Amino acid sequence: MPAQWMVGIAFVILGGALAAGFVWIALDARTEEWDGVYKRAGLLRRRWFVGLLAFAVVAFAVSMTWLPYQFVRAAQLPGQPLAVAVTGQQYAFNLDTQCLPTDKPVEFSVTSKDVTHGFAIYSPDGHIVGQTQAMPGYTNVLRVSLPTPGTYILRCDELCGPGHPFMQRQITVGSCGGSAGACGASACG
Amino acid sequence: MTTMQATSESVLRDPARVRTVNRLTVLWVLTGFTLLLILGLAGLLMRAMQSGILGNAALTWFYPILTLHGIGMVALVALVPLAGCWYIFAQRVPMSTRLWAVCYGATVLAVVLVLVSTLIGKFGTGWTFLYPLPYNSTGAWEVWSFVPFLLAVTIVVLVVLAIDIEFLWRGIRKYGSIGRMYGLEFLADPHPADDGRPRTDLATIAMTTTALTWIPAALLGAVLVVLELIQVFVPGFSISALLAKNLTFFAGHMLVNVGLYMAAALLYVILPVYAKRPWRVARYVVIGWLATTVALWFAFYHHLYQDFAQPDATQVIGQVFSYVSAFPALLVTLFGGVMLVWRSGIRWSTAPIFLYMGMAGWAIGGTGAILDSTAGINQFMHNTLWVAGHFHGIMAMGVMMFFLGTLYYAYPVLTGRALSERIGHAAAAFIGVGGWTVVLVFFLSGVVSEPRRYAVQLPGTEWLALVGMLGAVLVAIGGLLIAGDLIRSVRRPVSSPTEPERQPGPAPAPA
Repeated sequence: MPAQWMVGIAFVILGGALAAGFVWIALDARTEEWDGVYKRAGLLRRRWFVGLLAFAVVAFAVSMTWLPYQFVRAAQLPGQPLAVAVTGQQYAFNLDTQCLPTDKPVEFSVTSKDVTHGFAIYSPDGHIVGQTQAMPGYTNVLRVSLPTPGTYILRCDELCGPGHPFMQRQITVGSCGGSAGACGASACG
Repeated sequence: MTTMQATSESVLRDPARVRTVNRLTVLWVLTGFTLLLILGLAGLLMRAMQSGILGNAALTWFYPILTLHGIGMVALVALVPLAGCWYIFAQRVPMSTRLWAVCYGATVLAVVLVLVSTLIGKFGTGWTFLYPLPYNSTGAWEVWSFVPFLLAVTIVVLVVLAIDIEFLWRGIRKYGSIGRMYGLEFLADPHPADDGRPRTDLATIAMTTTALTWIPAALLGAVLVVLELIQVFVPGFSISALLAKNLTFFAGHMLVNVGLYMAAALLYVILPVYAKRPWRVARYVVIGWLATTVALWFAFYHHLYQDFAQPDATQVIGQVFSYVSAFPALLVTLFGGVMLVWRSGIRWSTAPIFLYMGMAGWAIGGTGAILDSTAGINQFMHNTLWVAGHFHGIMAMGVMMFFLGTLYYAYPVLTGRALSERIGHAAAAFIGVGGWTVVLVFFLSGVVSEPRRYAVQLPGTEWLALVGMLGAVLVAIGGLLIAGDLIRSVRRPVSSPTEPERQPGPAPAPA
């Protein structure tokens, strides 16, 4: 399941619970009562605090393993990666390879010649599997694993001018004719 | 009572001043509502363009309108709650009506400048004017159009800054110190003894937080504006894109957050009037707002999660403080507001309906924001329409609902003219259903990785923009119902009932 769907499900559960709570309180607001509410509110607030704190601590600890930065990715995706230099410019991505392997990590070094662009990698099923920014004067290093072969699309997702929605490029993952980078632009899109 | 206090009281009760305060407030509220309507229609237009029903118009007009909608709404989110807070504090301290009138004139000028920049100059960088895009338009706009845009931004920054500084100055004179405005004495003693000096309240604490966080943000924002202006006139000059982005989001994130916290101050004052229960200062409230003050300084780093050149530490710090900033909202304001309403016997008139909707919008939109503020999740959702979902949840269905609640509370009090409850309820229904349609479609679009700020949607997803547009149409109907009732109240006024609950009272009693 794409990560986005899991985020969506988490939102439906958490947001839905909050929405249900708001509706329930609104419907239960018509009866006037003070003493009971006053006493129970303090207790509820303490429980709400402890519950939120526990949830936040666990979520934070788990989420540190999802970080996309080098100090985490280098440990999670060991081995010699294929280095790919990417330069964004209005409104194209220049890459020094056209094919990417499925069996080893890929390390994109991303920069820009003009303005800040986004560099989002869309899988064949249409979801973002990783991204970073292409910023002039800086090189952002993104290490990813692309185990599913197929045609991926690189899209700019940072507003970079009127041609922004058209800044994209296809790239093939797998079927690289024996070695990464072996196929040309005409073969790989 | 000291001589100074007596003088202050007589100034506050001066009938001429009261009239000026009321008129200025009505002017701000009506101007804010009109701009909200126009900018909302600009949003509707953008969804129509994205749905494809307007043909190639999107290619020319989408980005100028996006920029107009974005900067306009960000300014409104800050200025409209500021106007409400100014009115509240003008009841308690002699806030300068002259300064506030100048701020109004400057804001009108800012509106004109933004219109010139976007609709004539076709300036289209989005409200964040991410460096160095303003100077690299590939022919879509000329650099001159950036100047009126920057001047308009400067005006908004200075208006909030001026009122924050005046608030702090007058607050210190009234309460004695910034510490007492924060209620620090509650940390030592949950029930401090009466010492003959005024005690703070929730709205004052929220506004103090706003002032102390906005002052540094405004100064750093001013540095960015100056650097950008230099490059306009000295094209060979340039700055670091990463530095500029940090400055943009330090000030920009702060601006929308101070708007949210000033909106919370309105909630603190108005909701108790309808719930008929006091909303008191307590130790956990003071701790919560102190935590918010600190968290706001560092949470903005979550805007730079995809800038891997940032130090890794700042990315983790950004997530820590994003989480921290959620606690006061959930534990103090939202939980407190819900408990205020629970079994209160509240009569669901239009004002509390909008206020309650605002709390729900803040909570549910905030849930989407917290998920996205997790760096490991952000790598999949960053710059997708998920982001538009969470900030429309918090801002459109949160802050703007607080504003409409304030309008329905304040307008009859200030003008003596009643608004129709029947129309108010109908408007709330249209805005609630339509608004959440808009927001949920944004969230769903984020789940399918639709990038934000695309004039042309990804193939096959145009229907999502169309559904979002239909939601925006419902919101527009709700807005026009309110506008029609406001116009009717001017042409055929009906006196406002003099219910005690509608009288603007003094600050809620301290604990």
